[in-house]
Amino acid sequence: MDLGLHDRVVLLECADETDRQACAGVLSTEGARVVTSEHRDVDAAVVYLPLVPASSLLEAGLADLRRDWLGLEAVVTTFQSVLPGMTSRGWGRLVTVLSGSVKSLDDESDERGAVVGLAVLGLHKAVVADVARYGITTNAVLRDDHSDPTEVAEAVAFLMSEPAGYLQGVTLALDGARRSSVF
Amino acid sequence: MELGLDGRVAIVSGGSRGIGFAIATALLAEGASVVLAARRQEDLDRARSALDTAHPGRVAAISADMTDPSGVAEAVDLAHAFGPVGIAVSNVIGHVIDKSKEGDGPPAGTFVTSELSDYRHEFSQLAVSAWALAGAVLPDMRAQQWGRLVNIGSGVAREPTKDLPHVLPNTVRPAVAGLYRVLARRLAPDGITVNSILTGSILTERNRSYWEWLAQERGTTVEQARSVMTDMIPARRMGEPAELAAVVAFLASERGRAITGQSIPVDGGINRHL
Repeated sequence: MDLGLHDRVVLLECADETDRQACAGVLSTEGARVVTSEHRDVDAAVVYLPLVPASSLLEAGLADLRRDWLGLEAVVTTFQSVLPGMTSRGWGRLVTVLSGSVKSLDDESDERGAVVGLAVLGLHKAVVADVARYGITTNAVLRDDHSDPTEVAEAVAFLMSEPAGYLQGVTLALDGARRSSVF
Repeated sequence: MELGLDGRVAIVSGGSRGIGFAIATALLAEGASVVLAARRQEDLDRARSALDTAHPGRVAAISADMTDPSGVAEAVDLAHAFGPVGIAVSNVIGHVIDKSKEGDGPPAGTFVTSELSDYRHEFSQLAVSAWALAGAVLPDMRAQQWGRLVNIGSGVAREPTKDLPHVLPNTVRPAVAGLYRVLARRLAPDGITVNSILTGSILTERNRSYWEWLAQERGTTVEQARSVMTDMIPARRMGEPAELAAVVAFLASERGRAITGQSIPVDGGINRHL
């Protein structure tokens, strides 16, 4: 399938080295130009929020909550910086990579990731309502600590692709049916 | 992106027109062989000859009732000429607005206007067809320890519509999504993924019938009715069948092997749930 990413400029924000290399590798194979800092003409942006496996909200302190919240702020800042260019060009792809615990809280879930991840999904809906009409899509990949970084990156690449242009405000969960929620 | 579908064998119900035809087209383009199953012979002949020209020797078609296990078995038998089935897309239509264009199915209705027999008819069209297809291809998929089941469902499975006479899909679509969700959990150890697509805003013959129905209902022109519907879509446009087909091709691919048990909206942003 031709993803139509050749020569597209993709802003990649990901603190984890393994995840970043996997994502940059898949996108480069598709011919995209991956940049890691602010760039004027970004066609697509992906922000990975950190995963905290088996995190507990009851054991979290205020400092933890504030640090988690910085993830939401990073998404807002990135979207703000790239949306004017995408809007004027009439094409854009926004993708976040979140914890699968936004869908259901099973044993050993990333509870802290659920809180900030749900804030990001709420933000996605608002962004879709505002900018979907300009050919900009906003979607999320959900993962957990079992997820393969390359599979996550392939799902990111698909969401950024030309053929995925009618997906708006959706989540693609890579959990191999481990979670128990119906939807 | 290499999807890894070369040599795979697929069955697509409702494959002669609209969304099903687009899915067959996408799978063929990725190297799969495809059996189209639908009712109307003349639509099947047209679809098969168009696809066979582009992909000689990889397309077959059968007129079958996919709500009847014996009809499904005939389609699977035909597919075996290509090899064991690895991909099955369930895409049977539910209630109909215009019987002459859309084929068999109970009439659209509300709770007040619908008969018990209409619910059973809808159940047969949507749930029995999805169940029968999954059951018929399961032995092949288990033997290969590889399979892809995709149901083409509707956004009303998660968010029932209140503005249209939709009591039948509002009731039955969630049941089908539940059926496929349970199968996903049971079949994951066999390397089989099971997913649902939720839609309703793809540009097909059926949606054109809706505009005509809505125009008549509200005393507007068809063009006005069309813009009432597209204004409700954040993307401000209907989706092309090929856009839905691309998502199905990705789910069916080697790349999509970790994605299972999901209900994925392909709707330009109409869905409201997080």
